[in-house]
Amino acid sequence: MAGTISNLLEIGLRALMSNQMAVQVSAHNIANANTDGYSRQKVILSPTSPFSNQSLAKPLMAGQMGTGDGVARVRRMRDEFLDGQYRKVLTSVGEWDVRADMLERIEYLLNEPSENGIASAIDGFFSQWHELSKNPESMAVRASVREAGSALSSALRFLRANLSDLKDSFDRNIAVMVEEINSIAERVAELNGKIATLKVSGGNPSDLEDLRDLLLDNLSKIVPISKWERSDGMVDIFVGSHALVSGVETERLMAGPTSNGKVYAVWFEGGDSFIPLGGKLKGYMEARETAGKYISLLDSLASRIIESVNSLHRLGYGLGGSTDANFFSGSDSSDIGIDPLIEEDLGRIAAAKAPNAPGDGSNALDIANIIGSKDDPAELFRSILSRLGIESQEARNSLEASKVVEGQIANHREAISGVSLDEEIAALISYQRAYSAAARFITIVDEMLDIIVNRLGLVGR
Amino acid sequence: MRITSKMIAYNILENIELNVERLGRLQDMISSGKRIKRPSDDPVAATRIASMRSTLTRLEQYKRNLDDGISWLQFSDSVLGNLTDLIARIKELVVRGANGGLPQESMNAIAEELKQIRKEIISLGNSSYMGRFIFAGFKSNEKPFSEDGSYLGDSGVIRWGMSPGIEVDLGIPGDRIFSPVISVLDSAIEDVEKGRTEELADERVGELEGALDLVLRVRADIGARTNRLEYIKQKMENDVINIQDLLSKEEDVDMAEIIMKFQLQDNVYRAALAAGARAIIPSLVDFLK
Repeated sequence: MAGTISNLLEIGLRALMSNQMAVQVSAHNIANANTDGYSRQKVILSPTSPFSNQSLAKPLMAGQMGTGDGVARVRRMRDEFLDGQYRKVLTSVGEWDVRADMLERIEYLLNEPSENGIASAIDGFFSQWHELSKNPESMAVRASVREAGSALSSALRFLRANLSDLKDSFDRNIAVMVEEINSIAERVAELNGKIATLKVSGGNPSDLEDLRDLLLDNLSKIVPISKWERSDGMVDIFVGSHALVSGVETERLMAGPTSNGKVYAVWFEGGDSFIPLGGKLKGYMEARETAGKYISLLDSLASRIIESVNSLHRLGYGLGGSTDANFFSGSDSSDIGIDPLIEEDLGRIAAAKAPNAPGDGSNALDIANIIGSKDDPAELFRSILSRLGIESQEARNSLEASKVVEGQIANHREAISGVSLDEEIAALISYQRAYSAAARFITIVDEMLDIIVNRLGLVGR
Repeated sequence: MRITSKMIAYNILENIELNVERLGRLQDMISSGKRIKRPSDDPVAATRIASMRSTLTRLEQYKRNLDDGISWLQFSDSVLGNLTDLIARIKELVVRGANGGLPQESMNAIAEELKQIRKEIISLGNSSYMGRFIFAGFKSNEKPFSEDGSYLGDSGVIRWGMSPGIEVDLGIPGDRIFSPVISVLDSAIEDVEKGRTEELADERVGELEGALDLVLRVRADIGARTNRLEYIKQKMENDVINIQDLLSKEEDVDMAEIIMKFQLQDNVYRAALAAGARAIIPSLVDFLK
């Protein structure tokens, strides 16, 4: 039975169909050359099963008779190992990105080095005490001391309020991140279902897998994940040791204030607590701590100013003989202000060390000399500044370093999965040629049939 | 390695963005003239800048203190110069009165002049400078000498901070100089009026010399303090210049260097753009019919 004419037609038809399919895959590749997360697809053509020998006596023949070709499968060009590497570095980029951004914002709030930040407010304030030590009788100079004190207080309170707002904003960010994790998890679970269904029916879920991988890339910016691929094509996603997605099921994460109502915590719907080990979510949780740390540093600065000035001020005497009076009210950067009695009567500013000595500015001089002493608040502020500078620089450097690695791995991934237009055009040309040749072959078969049908057995007509 | 057009486009874009960012930073430095915008640009330098700014503020304050202190001392010295002249005149009159043999009218005239001088001395003791009575100790907002010559001030000595750790006395309580002079003068007036020439010659002249000596010693002391302040001021001016210089080195941009860097960066940027323009477009498609 080997070599019937209809076999020839079948081979021609198969060639047309498989080359047409290859052209279709190339066209799909070209169409998605710029699609995020798309992996190049490759048609794997292979010969269809050859005929075995048909003769009853099985005489040996020169070889098997081929039956043409077919599309074995459409392969998705992807390297799972690189995906894992890429996601690890995305987690670190996500974390440092948040951290560097937050520290930069604190730096902008501090506005240093500049001529109108907290540092100059401190210097200006103590300079006014020097002036007072020279002119203790002068009401104008006393008013300047009060104004400088009030400017310093409001600069501290303003910075504190801004830092506090910044800190609170991170709670909202944490909630947003958790929502995003949940939404990605649900979409991954949904894709899991579709992919498994397609695979069972022998379909090709390449594009859905690409979509799922893109979601996982985005997810790993927020939290570090690990992935377990099942034989049915579904993936289970773990954060820490807890499953976020298993098959088509997800366990939602929740975010909200803790029992003491102060800060946001994150936990699984089932009740297990969750502490992220990296990514943006960890970044925001740490940013909140960091902002809190700078708030308490600012508080210690304010209370040092309040205590060092007040303790000396209480020893001195005002113009009316008042003594044991505070200059500042409040206890930290949230409530520092000028004592109401001083606001009321400038004469209560204690410049003298003895009662009824209007010309004595020695107590004011002692207060001015806090600068340069072991209690120097300017020095404390500079140490805060230097700490912030170093932390922020470190975060910026780490972010840049992880971005470089991200770029390199992204390039590697692109080298494997990216669409090269040159390559696709070259493939298109060769498939097109093969298609034309197959068509020509069918014409030849047609002519052969013509011979058999129309011209055979016409001898003597 | 397979290179795809997306890769090339992505890399070119990345490099162009990096170049723009660097250009922007240099541009910012050139326009602001400052090398450091925030602490993380250079944490060590940022802390040093803050510290130098603080020191400068303090030194400027001390410089104002020194200027004001020097003029205060100079004013005190000129008042005491007048006092010296008056004491010399008193001595002259007392010596004339001690000669004896003067008619009572002349003695009365001398007494009259001495009384005028006494008023002048009291008004010198009540001198005020920059809104305060400088010979009143700490009671500087009231006249320290009443018309009868009694001292109403206290013994407080006004002292100012003139540089870190250095405080200098400026005030001179009036009872230390004016009161002895006034009391000698009071005795002299009485002696002249009563014609007690012997007391004038034996006691008043000597006492006046003692008073003069006291005033001169105080003036010498004022002179010494003025010199000390001048010296501190000179040193401080040098310090201010040095620190300003250091501060400028730390925070100001070296324009020549930065402009050169800017040019270089600009060239790199243009090259990246040119390379991008050439590399992104062509593919095999462009060469097929």
